[in-house]
Amino acid sequence: MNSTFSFTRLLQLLRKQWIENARFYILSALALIGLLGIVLVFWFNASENSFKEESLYIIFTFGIYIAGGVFASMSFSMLGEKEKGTYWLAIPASHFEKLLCILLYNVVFFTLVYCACFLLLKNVAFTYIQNLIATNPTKYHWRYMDWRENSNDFSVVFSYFMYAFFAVQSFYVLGSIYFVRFSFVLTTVVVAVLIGGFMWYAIYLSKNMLPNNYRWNGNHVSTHISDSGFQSSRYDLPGLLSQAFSFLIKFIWAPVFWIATWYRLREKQI
Amino acid sequence: MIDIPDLHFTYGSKKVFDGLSLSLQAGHIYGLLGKNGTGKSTLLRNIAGLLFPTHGQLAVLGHKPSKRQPAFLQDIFMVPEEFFLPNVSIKKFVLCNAPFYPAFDKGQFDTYLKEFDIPGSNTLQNMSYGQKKKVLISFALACNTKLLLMDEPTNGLDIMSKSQFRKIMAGVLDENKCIIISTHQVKDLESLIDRITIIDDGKILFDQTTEQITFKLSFKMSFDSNEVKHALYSEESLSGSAIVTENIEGGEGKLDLELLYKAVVLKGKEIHAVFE
Repeated sequence: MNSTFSFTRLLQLLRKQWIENARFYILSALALIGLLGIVLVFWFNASENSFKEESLYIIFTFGIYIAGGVFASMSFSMLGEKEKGTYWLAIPASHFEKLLCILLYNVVFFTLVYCACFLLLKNVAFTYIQNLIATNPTKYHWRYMDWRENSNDFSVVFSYFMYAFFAVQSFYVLGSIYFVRFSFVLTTVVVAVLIGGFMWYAIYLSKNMLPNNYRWNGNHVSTHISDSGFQSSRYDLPGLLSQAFSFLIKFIWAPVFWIATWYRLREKQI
Repeated sequence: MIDIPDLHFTYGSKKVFDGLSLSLQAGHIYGLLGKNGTGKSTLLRNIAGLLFPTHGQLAVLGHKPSKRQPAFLQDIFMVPEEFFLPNVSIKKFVLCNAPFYPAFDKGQFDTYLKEFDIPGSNTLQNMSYGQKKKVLISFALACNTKLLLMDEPTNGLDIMSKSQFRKIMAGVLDENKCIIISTHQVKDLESLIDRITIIDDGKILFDQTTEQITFKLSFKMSFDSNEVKHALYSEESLSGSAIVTENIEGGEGKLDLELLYKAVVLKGKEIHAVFE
């Protein structure tokens, strides 16, 4: 018997998780649809007949962060209660399989269900708006989001928000195993402190480590000398290193938090 | 089956076990007795891998419990005093959980449910605490794990159910199984337990088979003041004095677990002297 991973055991776990929590998942999905619907109604009324697809994607992003954080912070809530924690830890499956089951439901399936719910409502709203435009084209307007690279729309940063979402969501999963009570609130505080601290430190470093007139701009350092002689320089990391760095910044956080969660799960006592 | 050479465990600054040593074998039903807060449930949880020793090791079925490996977990089942069952029907509960235990026997489970008078079509959320406990006990027994841990199993069971429980348990043990029952309800399980382990002050205070106990000690009521005076332990009751004496007559008498427990806790030196 493989003590770390068995596909059969994982499937049994996934089935068990569904059977025991189906009602909660279905009600949560319905609640999500209801809440998104309410937000879209507000958006419709606030748009004053000029509708932008961009604002829908902004709503999508805010919603997935909030709902994803709340859902992820409930991942290991059972470990906060002695009876439920005993029941769950005693299941004959490895910690890796149990973690994978939780991640599949609370990360993967949640994201898919959220996207499905949002797209459903977006299509309903879009169809309704198109009907309004068809009946009164001078009064109602619809503007598609500009997905081109050089656009000024939210589309330029949308992908970065989604990369960050998976990192933040994984951090909330980690938080749910560290904070058995008020997990969402405490993890949010920690996230705020960490991000705020990181930003302060980055600014402090760039101000104190770089000479005057030099500026750090994310993935390069630049300098600009004016008055007596216009001179502008830019210093970049080598291509491969820059790409590797960029890849790590985008994708490394979630796996790091998942591994930390796995270690914490192994140490959990009830 | 269970080897605990030198177990230390603390809750924060409170020391629960201070070098506890114990060895438990298959083919026995162990009764784990002790005062409130002596660590009976803690010991069971250490064995089950739900708690980790502060210091020292324990080996259960050749595994280190704290690793909680599937091969270990599928050979052990714990019926805790405070338990959780999901809000599903009995059928779905079995569907969810039985596949994790390779030795699970559906026929046995149905038989135990019938013995406990629980209809299989019931849903768990509509059951009382006692009924849910009977379902959990039935499932635990039907899993046929090598090690079964039970913490206060008769708590919440009515008189008839306790009798049914004793009847079922009597037929469950075999040479490959070990059952450990932690209990205060000694009267409920007197006839089942074949080895008594008493924990006190973080250590094993007493550890003997019932056969040895009844061979060495005698438990009876006495009105003879001289006999009461020379007894190892005595306590007054309305129908005379309940006493524990050394078994001089030979043969095996009836065991009174409650009296034995009190005698061991209050007159430990005298009782141990008999066994030495």
